[in-house]
Amino acid sequence: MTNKSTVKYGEERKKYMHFIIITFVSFFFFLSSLAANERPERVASLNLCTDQLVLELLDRDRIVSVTYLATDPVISYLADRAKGLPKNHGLAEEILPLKPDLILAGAFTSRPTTSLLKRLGYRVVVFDMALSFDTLRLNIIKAGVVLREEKKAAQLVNTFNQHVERIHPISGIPISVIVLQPRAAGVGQLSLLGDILRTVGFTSFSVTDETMGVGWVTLDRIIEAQPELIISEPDPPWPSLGHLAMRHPAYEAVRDKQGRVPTRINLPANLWNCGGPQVAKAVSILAKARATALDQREIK
Amino acid sequence: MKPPLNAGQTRKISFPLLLGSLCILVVILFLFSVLIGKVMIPVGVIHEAFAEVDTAYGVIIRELRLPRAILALAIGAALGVAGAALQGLLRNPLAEPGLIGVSGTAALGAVIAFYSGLSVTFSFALPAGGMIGALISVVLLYILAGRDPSVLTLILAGVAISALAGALTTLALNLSPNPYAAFEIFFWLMGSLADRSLNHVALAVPFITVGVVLLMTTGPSLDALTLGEDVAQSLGVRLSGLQARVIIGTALAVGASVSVAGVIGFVGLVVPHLLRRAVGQSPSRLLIVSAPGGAALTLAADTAVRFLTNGPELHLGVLTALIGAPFFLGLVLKIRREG
Repeated sequence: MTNKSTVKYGEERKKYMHFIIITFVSFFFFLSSLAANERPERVASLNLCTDQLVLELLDRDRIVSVTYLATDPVISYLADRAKGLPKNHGLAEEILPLKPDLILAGAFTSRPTTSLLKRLGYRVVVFDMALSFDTLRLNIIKAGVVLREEKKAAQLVNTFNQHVERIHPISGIPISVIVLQPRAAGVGQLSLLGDILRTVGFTSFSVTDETMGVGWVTLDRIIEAQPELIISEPDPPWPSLGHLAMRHPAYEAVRDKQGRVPTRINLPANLWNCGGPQVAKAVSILAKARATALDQREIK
Repeated sequence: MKPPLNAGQTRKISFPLLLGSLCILVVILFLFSVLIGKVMIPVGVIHEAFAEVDTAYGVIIRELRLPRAILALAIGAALGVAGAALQGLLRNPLAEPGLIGVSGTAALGAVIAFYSGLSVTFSFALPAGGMIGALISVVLLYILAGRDPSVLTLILAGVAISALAGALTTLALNLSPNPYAAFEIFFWLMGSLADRSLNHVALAVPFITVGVVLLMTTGPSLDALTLGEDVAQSLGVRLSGLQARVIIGTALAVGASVSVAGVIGFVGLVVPHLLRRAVGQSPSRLLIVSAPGGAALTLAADTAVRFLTNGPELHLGVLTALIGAPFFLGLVLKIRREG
């Protein structure tokens, strides 16, 4: 019986993947027709997440600027590669002297800045925030097309897919998990982290039923929920009220339903705050954590 | 049924009765604050907070609700008493720690202590920063508006100090290596007691207590001051000593409060205003009843914010401002009418 359901699950998954691939290919051609321009040689990025795409896909000599956030390893996965590149703070006047032939911006980059740059005749491509694995893949492909690095991008998506497909969660066994984030706690159903947790097989990962990207859970409800796993971030090197709150002494006293101390998992924010190939790493960290939690149950 | 109040008339309630009922109110609200929240605690499990084995309820009571209730009690009392003392010293009913910039400057001190990383290595830097900030602003305020009881001077001095404190806070945040500092402080400045711990209690409450006690000792001198500075001096009041006690007491009480809870405005305005008539305009009695009065208001408001919104909790300072701002406007109108 288990076998049957696994097969069915796999089939559905395959169908789903086909659908995605077809979408990608058509999207790819659509974009190629739009972007019949030459290969951009001077690319500027105005957003932390487009920084990651640029750093992933381009050689250094084709990047004229990334944001000042790109070198902070706490939030930027490719911080090492960003070192030494000219920084911008999202201001048009920092970008203009660099004479970029392509500017990548995020959906939340200041509107006046992007519209000013567009009006001045610069080519600005805006990327949506990746709130799911689908937008994550789309963003990589889209970046590949506008940067004329289609092959590299396709490879990245392929590797990502392989990583994610390798995870075969033992589904149906609920493990109560709470995800702590600085300035918020909990995860909504429609978020990148939500997709990560679903892939790994966490069935009840939040005590909220909010559907936004970030859920809000009060600490008393976390304690009441008696989670087996607490997922949080390592402390950054700078002082942060949000991270301090995740070190509230009450967490020391939290126990799961069996009276055990919940396992605390460190999931660096730079693995999932932007949609990119690094998300696969977040998936494997959490998959390992889930397997360990299940093992410990069986030992008991 | 209460007899109707005649405007402008003083209504005498026996002082011990008023003080006693306020204290009983505080005890009841304290209990509510511990039991009520997103998770409701049954009265029967209170003992679990001190049991050997930790239960979920026990942890919630001991680590979350108790610190929160203690801080609401202490901070409410501090703000109420500081408001009453400043109003007595400046002989101005609009003097309030938040309005005249003391809270804002205390916040600046706390922000510098935290985002410079000082409070990470030395935790008392946080209340120290708050208290130093508050001290600077009270001294500045006294230099700018101390001897002049005009409402306009006081409010203008307060506006100037608040604006400066706000600008310097933004500057401090821009210099911080934390990319989210401005975002964090935006919410922190709204004032909240959510998820504070016993560490915060240990950091702030000792200073608040010293500050409140110091302010309480100014009662008799403030009574004498209502007759004018000359009369007060002839009655043996040392003006400089009185000023120093109010300034240092306010700095300790408000500075330490702000450093753990952010800016909770208008408590020091609303509470003395509500109680002034009941104590027959006596500053010394007003000081005493403003402590349980402020505590009751803050405990009630801090319990209410847990339910007023569905998503993230409403910030306590937002609620006190919503209650307090109409009071402030009403007071301004009243002062204008009276010329």
